Amino acid sequence: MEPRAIRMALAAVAAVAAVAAVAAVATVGIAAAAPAADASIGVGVQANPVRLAGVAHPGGSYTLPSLFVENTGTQPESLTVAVKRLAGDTGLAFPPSWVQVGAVAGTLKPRQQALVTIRLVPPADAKPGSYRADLVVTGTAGATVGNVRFGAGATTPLEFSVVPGPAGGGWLGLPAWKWWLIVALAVVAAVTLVVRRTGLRIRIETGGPDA
Amino acid sequence: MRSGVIVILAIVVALFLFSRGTDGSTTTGGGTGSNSSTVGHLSVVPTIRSVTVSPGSVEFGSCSGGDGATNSTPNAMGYPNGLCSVGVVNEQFPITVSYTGIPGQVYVQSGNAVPADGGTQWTLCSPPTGGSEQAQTKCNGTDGLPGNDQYMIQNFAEQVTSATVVNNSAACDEEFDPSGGCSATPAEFAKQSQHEGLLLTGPANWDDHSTSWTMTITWYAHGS
Repeated sequence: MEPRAIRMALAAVAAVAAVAAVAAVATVGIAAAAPAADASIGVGVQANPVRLAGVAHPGGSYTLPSLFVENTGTQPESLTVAVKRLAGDTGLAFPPSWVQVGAVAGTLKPRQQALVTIRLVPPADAKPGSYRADLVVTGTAGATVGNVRFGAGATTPLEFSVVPGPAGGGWLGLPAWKWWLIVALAVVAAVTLVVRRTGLRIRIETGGPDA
Repeated sequence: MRSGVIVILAIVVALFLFSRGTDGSTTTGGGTGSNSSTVGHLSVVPTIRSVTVSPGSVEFGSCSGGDGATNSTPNAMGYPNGLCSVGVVNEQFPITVSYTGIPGQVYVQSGNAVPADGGTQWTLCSPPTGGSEQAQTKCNGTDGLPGNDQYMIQNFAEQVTSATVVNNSAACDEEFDPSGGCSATPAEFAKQSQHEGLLLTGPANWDDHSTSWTMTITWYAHGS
């Protein structure tokens, strides 16, 4: 092969290599840019309201069903839960201090889900009635683009009823089963006392049909 | 007598073991005896509601308004009451808001604008008449525009003719549903999206000397 032909062949190979390199760089650029363009923040929450099974009494403490939350965005997110009364909420309003909300542990990865513990502690002077507010789940990280910080959140209702009476549902603050136990012991004690005072004897005999 | 007790105990133990063996309809794994089981997979409809916001690559721009030496430049808002936007009204809507799950509503909320130096914030306000039902600071400037250290945010959307003032507490995003209101009724396993933009009206004047301000806007998936 002549030197000129060799040079042309090398030049062709170099040109192909250069085109391939440019194509590779462009591909990386698109691949790198794509996630940023598609990046999103998102928060999901259970659709069903969080409701107290039964009723609450002033001064009591009640465990509510745990709240299901999910990071529906494409980037890690930390979630917080707050109790708020939003536009359109019906029922009696109550201060957020009546509800103790657990923390969402750590940062949730995309599509990761978590359960949040909730406890209701109505004060001793809570008025009877049906109460309602919203559990508002918000992502704390958000996404800042330029001078705007974008956020996402989701809400679900929180509902419970308060009825008069001491906490625990019994008299003098004791639950009903304790009262039944006290009554049973009192009956046993009374019978024992009567038997001893009257000298009554009960004789129990065992035996077969021939006895 | 004693043998009778032993027999009764044996029957009780046998009943206990038998009941344990037949408890539950399916047992998988963990057993060492012959055990057949069937695993079934069932898809169910979603039981959550969620909102996802895709901001895209956007910044406040297209600024206008102001007066004389404090007129706006394309990318810097002037005063009094300069205007800047994310997107362009009736033309560009760079923010995508998507609702997924059981039908509900989309709420939106904003808050004060915070200067880079942490100084005096701009309070979010709404026009003195009409619009917002929320207990929010009313704009006290000329012609109902924001006064000193006040600002207003409106969102606008594709196929919706008018912009809506955003409140400092979560309220119905009137721009989300092109037919009016904030209802989200996506089909099962689908999502309902809206493309939106933001329009900011600045203060009549401001005390803080920062040239960079940050504001927050949050969308919520809300139960009906």
